[in-house]
Amino acid sequence: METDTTDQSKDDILICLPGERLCRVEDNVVLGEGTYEQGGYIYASKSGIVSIVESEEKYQMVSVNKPGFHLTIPATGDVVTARVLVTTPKFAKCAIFCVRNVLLESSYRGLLRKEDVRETEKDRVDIYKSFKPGDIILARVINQMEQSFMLSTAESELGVVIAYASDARKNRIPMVPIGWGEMQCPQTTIKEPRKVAKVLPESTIKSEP
Amino acid sequence: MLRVAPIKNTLLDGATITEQLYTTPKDCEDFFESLEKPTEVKATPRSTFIRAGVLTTVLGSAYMEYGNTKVLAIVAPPRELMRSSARRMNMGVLNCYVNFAAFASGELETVPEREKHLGGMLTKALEPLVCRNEFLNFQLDVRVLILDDDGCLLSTAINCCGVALVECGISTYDIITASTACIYKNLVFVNPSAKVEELLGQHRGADSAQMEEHGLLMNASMDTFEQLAQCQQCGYMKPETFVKLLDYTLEINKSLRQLIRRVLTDRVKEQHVLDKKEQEAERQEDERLAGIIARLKEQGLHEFIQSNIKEDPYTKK
Repeated sequence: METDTTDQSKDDILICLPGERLCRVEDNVVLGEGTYEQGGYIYASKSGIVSIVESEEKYQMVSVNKPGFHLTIPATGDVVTARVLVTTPKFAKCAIFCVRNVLLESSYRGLLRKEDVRETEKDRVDIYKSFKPGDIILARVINQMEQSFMLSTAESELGVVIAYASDARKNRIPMVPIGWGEMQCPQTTIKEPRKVAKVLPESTIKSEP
Repeated sequence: MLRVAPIKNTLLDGATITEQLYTTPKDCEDFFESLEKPTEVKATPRSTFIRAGVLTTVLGSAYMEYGNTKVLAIVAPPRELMRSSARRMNMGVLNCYVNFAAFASGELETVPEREKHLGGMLTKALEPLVCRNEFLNFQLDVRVLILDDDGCLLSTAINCCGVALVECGISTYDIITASTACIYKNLVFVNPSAKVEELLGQHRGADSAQMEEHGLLMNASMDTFEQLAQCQQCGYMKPETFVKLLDYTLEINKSLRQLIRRVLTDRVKEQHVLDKKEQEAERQEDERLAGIIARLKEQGLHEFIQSNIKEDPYTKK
């Protein structure tokens, strides 16, 4: 078996290939992206550049960053952008087309249940008063079920971002939020109920505890 | 979970024995005489060329020449499993499709069967390689196009797919390498050519009571944990011969591994440089925009729009 050779090039970068041993598993070492653990050691599972990030809480994150293209699949806890396709009394079906700030090649199926629409008064939520097909929503992935990703908008920063009034589809003027539960069309002044998101830069959204 | 897929007792690349009913031992002898025989066994790969990322339209692609065998592999990003094909699995699903280019093989009748067979074998070889737990409810499609066939098809396809998978950024436990060796009339052929493989397919036992050893061994290995991803044998071999051939293939795998590592490392460096360039371009673009915004603030909106309109060549006309 060859030793864990790592090329040290001029720019002081550490290149690794799949199956290369990176370091030993220790209490203060966390496995990042592109790595896996086997027999007490951390190995790389992608080709790329090794990065060791020191966190303030005295642990180190070892991860492998692949230059060029890298694959994105929604993971639990990620904020995703999705389009509502179908609404039923119990859930809304969505198509996830963007994960964090990465645009996906093909969309993935997402499912937003009635119970996950908002944090408070869960039993009084009506899907049809929160979303309409065609709305663009921000949501957090909470789980991956057999067929689709479960989504949740139970945070004030999550919910409908772009929506069009139901009767004025042709001129495509997005509605303006006028509260946490209502949006208004600037042209026809029609008000429609929505679960409106308080849009903030992603960095300010607190991560899931 | 262990799944046992039924595999017909065919030769490695799907050429069945029953096809040529009228071959006699004499024909085999003649064929064998016409072949170029190796004087000594050298456990080295053929002259090899590998390049990752040959196609710009797909995310993971690799092209490999192994002697005269030429293979192109394409990996598409994972797709969601369709409901119809949904099996209750706790692992991602891997699908491999092999296609022969129309000019790759002389015998067109056997091509569909060989394609199917190679596809199945390739799937089995790659399944232990890919971290399938990362693609729950996803399917990964690997497509292989065979441009030229001169033996060692399966092993070349495995090598090529391994590179394409890494290029696409699919998590893999290791780098996979594969090679083929065969024995016929006590002569060991390492990396057998298409002729030798054909001969093995046509082999008819002579009428002598003593059975001669004849067989083919394909071995795919992952060296970090010293695992065999796939080991396929057909024909008749004594255990000692089997071990001997296995050693030869492992030896070749090791040198191929060195080559693949070098190719992939170079590729990472190349992409790293490209990434840096892109970042630089982005930074310049940001600076340019920042400059425009600063100008906008100085000039005021109306004047700014006027000045921009004058610069536009289409409005001049």
